[in-house]
Amino acid sequence: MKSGKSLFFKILLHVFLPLLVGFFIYIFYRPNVWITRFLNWKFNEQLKAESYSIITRWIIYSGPDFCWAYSFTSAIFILNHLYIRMSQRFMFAFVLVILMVSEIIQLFLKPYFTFSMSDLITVIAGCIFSIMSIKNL
Amino acid sequence: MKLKTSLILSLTLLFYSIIYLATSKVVPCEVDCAKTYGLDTTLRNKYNYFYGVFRCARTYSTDTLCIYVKDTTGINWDLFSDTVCMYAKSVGLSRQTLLIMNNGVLPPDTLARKQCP
Repeated sequence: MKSGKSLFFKILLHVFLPLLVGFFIYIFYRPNVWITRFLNWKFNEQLKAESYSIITRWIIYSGPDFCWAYSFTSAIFILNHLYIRMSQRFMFAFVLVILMVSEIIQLFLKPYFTFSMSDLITVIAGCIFSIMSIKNL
Repeated sequence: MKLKTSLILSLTLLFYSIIYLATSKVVPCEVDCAKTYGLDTTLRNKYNYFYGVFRCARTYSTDTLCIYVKDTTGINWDLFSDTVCMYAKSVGLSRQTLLIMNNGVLPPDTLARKQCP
């Protein structure tokens, strides 16, 4: 096992930083979300969202989902490394099933949740990217 | 699996579920929201000192619109509120009370108040 300091740094980098980045994009760039509407917050960037390039729009609309999936996968793999100690294949399947169910279930929860194939691909990509990043834990 | 491990795993799943639910929930923008959004878009395209329009429902009655602006010298806010009344009527928001709010100070102060016909 790596030293405590190194592990703490990895938790910050792979668990908390992606959450912060996703939260930042969600609050400041994504238009018409209930949190900013409830708090009566409005930022110029939110109103420009539709005029951005396709890549920037992907970052605004799917970036937070990617960050959430990345952070979630990292957290589960770090927990597995520290406490659970099950096979990595089992944990990969466990995380993947949760991520896919969390997206697919939105098909049945309209209009308060909206399913999109790009979100599904994004969370799977976030999961795979996380595993590739933290494989040498 | 030990109790401690189960607890940590459950708390982690709960934490991420809360974040997921909080950020995935969509509030459909219909009727009044759509009209307010239409007014917001119209004003945003015309006035560079306009920040945004919101319902001030938490402190005022539900027919009150808060118009957030940058307090710019040389602007007649009473005249501006007349113009906003006109645009509000054009998007279907009649008989609204308008509060023109200076967004540059905290808490925002009221620059003008207008009862639209």
